[in-house]
Amino acid sequence: MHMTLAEAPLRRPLVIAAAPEDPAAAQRLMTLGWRPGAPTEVIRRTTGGARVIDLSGARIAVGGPLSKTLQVRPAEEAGR
Amino acid sequence: MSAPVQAAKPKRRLGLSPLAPVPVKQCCSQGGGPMAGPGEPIIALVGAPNVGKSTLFNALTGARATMGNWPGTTVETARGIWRYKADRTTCDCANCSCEVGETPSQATIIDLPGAYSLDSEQPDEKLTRDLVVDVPAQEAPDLVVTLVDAAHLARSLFLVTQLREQARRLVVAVTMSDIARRHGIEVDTYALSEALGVPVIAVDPRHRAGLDNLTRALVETLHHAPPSPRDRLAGADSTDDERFAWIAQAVERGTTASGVTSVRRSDKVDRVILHPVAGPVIFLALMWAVFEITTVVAAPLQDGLDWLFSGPVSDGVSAVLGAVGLGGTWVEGLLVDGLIAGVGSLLTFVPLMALMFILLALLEDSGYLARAAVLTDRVMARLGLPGRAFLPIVVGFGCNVPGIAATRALPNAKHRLLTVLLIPFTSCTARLTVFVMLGSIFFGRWAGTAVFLSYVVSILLVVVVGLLLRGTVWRRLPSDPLVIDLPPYQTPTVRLTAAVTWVRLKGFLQTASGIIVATVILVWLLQSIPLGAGLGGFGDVAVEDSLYGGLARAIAPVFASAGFGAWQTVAALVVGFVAKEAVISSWAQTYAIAEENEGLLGEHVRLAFEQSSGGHAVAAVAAFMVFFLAYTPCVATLAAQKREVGMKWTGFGVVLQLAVAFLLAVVTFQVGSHL
Repeated sequence: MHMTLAEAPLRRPLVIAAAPEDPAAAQRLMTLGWRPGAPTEVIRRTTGGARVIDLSGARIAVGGPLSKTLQVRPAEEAGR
Repeated sequence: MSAPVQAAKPKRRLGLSPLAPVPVKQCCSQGGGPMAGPGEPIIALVGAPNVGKSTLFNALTGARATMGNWPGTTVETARGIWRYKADRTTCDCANCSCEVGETPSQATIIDLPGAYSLDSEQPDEKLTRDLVVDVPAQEAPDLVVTLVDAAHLARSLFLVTQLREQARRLVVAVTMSDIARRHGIEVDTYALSEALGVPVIAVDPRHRAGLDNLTRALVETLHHAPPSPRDRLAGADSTDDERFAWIAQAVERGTTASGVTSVRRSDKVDRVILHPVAGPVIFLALMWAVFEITTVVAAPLQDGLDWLFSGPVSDGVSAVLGAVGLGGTWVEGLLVDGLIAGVGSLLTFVPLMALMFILLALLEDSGYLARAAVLTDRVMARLGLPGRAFLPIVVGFGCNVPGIAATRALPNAKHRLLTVLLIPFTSCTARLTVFVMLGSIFFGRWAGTAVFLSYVVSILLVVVVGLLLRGTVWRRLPSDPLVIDLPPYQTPTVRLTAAVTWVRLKGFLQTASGIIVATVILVWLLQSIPLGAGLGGFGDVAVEDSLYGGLARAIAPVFASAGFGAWQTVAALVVGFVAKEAVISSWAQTYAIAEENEGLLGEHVRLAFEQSSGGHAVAAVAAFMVFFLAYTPCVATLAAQKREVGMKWTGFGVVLQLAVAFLLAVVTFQVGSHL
């Protein structure tokens, strides 16, 4: 079951389901390791709906509006 | 505190990686490849933001750096001279003997803006591609040093992957090894070098560790031809897939993970710093502290310098001139009221700017600035600005000049430009002194409310002008969704903070000195030239009889519709263009009243507003305060703007400020006088 990053629970292993739709965000996130199939995890919620995620071991802050568009799914569903 | 890099791998502390060019003596080598460049080599530093690029730049170049925009762009780069000792060999090849020595050499180092890849269309990141990839080989830097983060190697290597697709001399510098080690990751520079096909050196520029090894690698690489582009892996579906597969291979060969993952200290701190409620409170408290330090702490230092130049220095020069028979002449006026006043005016900004640069360096180096950008992103996004634009605007309320300098923390050139144009609308403390004086003269017990309202109007001006520019000039300002790498917190180092502060302060003084001193001398000159015969000699004329007074009288009718068309008021505005601090003394000089005699001065000012407004003094002074708030803050601000965004945009800013100020002043007076 796909969900957005904004809907994902904290500290639960996730798998990236799709590339971002926004081209600017896609380019930036891809270089930071956002690729379909890669693992991620929401570490923290912060102001304005932003999320801090674990991506390739780094802490990346993703803005509130963008986190509502990024697709992920639970890692257990992906067989990880 | 992090451990020095060399200590991590003692067996290889002196060795370069195996694929570093073999140190063959040039004079004995058989076609060892072309030397870099005919003269002084140029080395470009590239890498992602927060990877330690500028720290390495400062470590290599020290104070021999200059900051400035890349020609034709608003993208800031730093250039510096790196002095090093290169091996010198005097060889007798017939007998196969060489004498080895060292020759002092130097190279130019360019610190390019942070870039994650070569694909970005953001101006700052695009510059890296333009300079490193898209230029002809003979115009490209002789060598590219790419910094990669040991703690997040896979991500950092994307840029290396793209650069290895070009035939460019490349050295990879691995930073953040101490943080990687805390995460249970060890980078084997030897194995990584084999995988990447270029020299890989571990460095810790914050503690100047590994710089000798880096120097050797750079010197050796410069002596050899660029390596061939890397071989592509077969079987990948797309270019990016092939790149990520190549990166995965390199990471697997070049790192060892102990499996011990320490609990991140930064995560613990972020529980508080990024808390939805506590985070903004802490942020506002820190901004308040920055505001206080850049104003309250700097104030006595500024006053001290002001006293020094207007007192002992001026008195000393006057005494010397008097002794040689030049006392009371225009020469004394030029030196004391022009040159010394101008230099003094410039130097009074030094404590303020130094404090601002120190605080900015501390916030950047500690890792907090990235968090502040997250906390304020939603608010600033309404103006089309990223969260980190909040800091320069807040600082602008203390003084516009360091506020504009603080825009350097914004990576996107368009965001930097928009912020630089908005900062002059923040009400600095120099304006506050005039507002307090006018408030007490015209509003009595409501003076405090009037001053408070000036801040409200200032905030509204920033918002409204920001929205206006967003809807017109920057209609195509790209949406910039927040995606920001949060670097681990670290303790700022004194050496780095001092180096960054000095380079930025030097840059400010170099740019601002000419414009400030020239403008102060120009005002003195205008005040020294009599309007006609019989009104006094050059340098010995009353203000109203000077060219300055004449110009003020000529301009004054323009402000009649705003209710403050008296020449004395307009003269104060002209002086305010130079420095808002000088407005009250200008009034005192114009009315020939001691500045300390506030009561009498207040009466004169009140009378001027009464007469020029046809009896609507309160509406006129409100209009004057609005104009005073919105028009050009001072020449130092112009100098700072010119330095950050160039002359064209500085001119645009002046026109914008004058247009907004005049329009609002007229509306304020016309509405106020009819109430």
